[in-house]
Amino acid sequence: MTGILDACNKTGSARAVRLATADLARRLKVNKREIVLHSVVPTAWPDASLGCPEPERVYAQVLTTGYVVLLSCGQDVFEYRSDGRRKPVFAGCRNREG
Amino acid sequence: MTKQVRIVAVCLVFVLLLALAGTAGMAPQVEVNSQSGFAPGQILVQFRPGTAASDVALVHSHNRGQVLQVLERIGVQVVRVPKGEELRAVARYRSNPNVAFAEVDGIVSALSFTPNDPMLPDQWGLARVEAPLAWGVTQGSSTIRIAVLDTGIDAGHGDISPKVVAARNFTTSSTVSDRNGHGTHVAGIAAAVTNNARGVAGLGFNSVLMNGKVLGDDGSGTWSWVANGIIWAADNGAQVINMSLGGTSHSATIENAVNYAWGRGSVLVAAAGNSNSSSLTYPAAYANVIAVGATDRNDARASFSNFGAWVDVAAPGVDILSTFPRSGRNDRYRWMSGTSMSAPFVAGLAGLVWTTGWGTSNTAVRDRIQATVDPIVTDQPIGGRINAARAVGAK
Repeated sequence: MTGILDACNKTGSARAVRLATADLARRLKVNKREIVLHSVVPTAWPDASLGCPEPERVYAQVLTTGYVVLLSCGQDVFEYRSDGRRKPVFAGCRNREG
Repeated sequence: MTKQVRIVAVCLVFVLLLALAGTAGMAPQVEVNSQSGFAPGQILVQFRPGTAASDVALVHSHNRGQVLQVLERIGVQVVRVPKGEELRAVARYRSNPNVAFAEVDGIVSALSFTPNDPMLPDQWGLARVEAPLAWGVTQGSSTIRIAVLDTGIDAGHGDISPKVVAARNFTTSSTVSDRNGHGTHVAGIAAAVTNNARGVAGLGFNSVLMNGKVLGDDGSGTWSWVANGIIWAADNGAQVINMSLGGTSHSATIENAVNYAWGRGSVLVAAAGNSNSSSLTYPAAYANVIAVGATDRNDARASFSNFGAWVDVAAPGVDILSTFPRSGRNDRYRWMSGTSMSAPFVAGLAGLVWTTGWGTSNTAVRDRIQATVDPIVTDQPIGGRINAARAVGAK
C-alpha cells in the first residue's frame, strides 16, 4: 500500500486515491483504514464522462486522461474513475473472485 | 525664311516640346511587381473621352493590339498583345496622346495577415486551414457574437478579456466562470484576443464571445441546460452557437431548441464525438447543426473521431493549443484533443464568413463553409477539412 501511494504521489494520482477512499468509506460506513488500495491505472477516455456516460446527459467531447482506482474492502473490489482534479466517479463493485 | 515664318516655326517647336513634356509627365513608370506578375499576352487601356473610333483602331493597329473585352462602365479595354511584349506595349500605348492610361493586367492575390501572438507557431491548426490568408481578407467584427455553450469561460484571462460580452449560468454550479478548463479552451480557439502580442490567436479574430454555461464543472450537463443555453444565445443575438458537447441519446427538447435558434438565424456547430465509431452524437447529428469531425496534422482522421456521412466537415482536433483558466493571476494555456477542439474552428470561421459577401444568412454561411472545404483522403468519411482562406474568398 505504501509503495503504491508513493507512486501515486509521484504521478499525481494521490488526490484521486484519497478522494475515492473517503467516498467508499462513506458509502460502506466503514473506517478508511479498512479500505485497501488495489491498483491505480492511468487511463484515457473519449470524453468527460470518464467512460461512464449516463444516457440522458451530454459531455464535453475532449479526450480526458485520468486514473482507474481499484479499492478493496473485504472480498469486494470497488472501481473509481478520476480525471485527477475533481471528485472521482464511482463506477461499481466487482466481486474479487469475479 | 521670313521673320514671321521663323516665329511661327519656333512657336510650333515650343508647343511640341510642351506637349511631349506634358505627355512624359502624365505617363507614370511601368510598375510591375515581379512577385505578383501579370496576365501574359494582354494589357489594359483606356482612351481619353472623345477619341474617335478610327483613332482608337489606328492605335491598336500600330501596336498590334486586339480588343478582347471592353469594361463598358469604366471605359477600359482588355487588349491582346504579343506575349512577352506586355511592358513594351504598355509604354507604346502610353506614348499616344489619345491614351488616358495603359497598364499590365496584374494578377491580384490576397495578402495574408500574420498576427503577433507569440504562440502562433505552435497553433498548427490555424496554418492548416490557411487562417493568415483568410485574415488578409477579413478579421471579422466585434458585431459578430459567437456563443460558447460549455463549462463557462474565464472571462478575465488575458487572452480572452474583454471578449465576453454576455454570460449566463444554466447549471447548478455556483459560478458562470470556468472551473473545468474545457470552455475556456474552446473559447480561445474560436476567438481568443488576436494580434495582441500575447498567447494564442483565435480563428474568429475580432468576433466576440457569449458565455453560456450549460456544462457543470465536471464537464457534463442535462438536456434542459443545453436547450436553455441555445435559446438564450439565439435570443441574445448569437450569429454562431458552438457546442463542443454531445451525448448518444436523441433529445426532442434539444432538437426543438436547435430548430428555434436556426429559425432565428444562428449558425449552429457541434462536435461529432470521440468514440471512433459511426454512431450518431447529438446535437451534432441534427439537420440544422454542422457536425464536425477531427483531423490531425497530416489531414488524416483523428483516431478517436466519429465518422460517417452524417459528419458534415472536419477541422483540426489533435494537440490543439489554446487558453486555459488562470492560476491566480497567471494566464495559462494547454494542449487538448477532441472533436470539442474541432468545432470551434468551424465556429470561428463562421464568424469570419458572416462579415463577407457570403454572410447574408445562416444558410449562406453554412453553405459557404461546406462548399469550400479541402478534400481529404481518410480511412472513414468525415467530410472535407475546412479551409478558411477559401471560405472568405482569399483564394
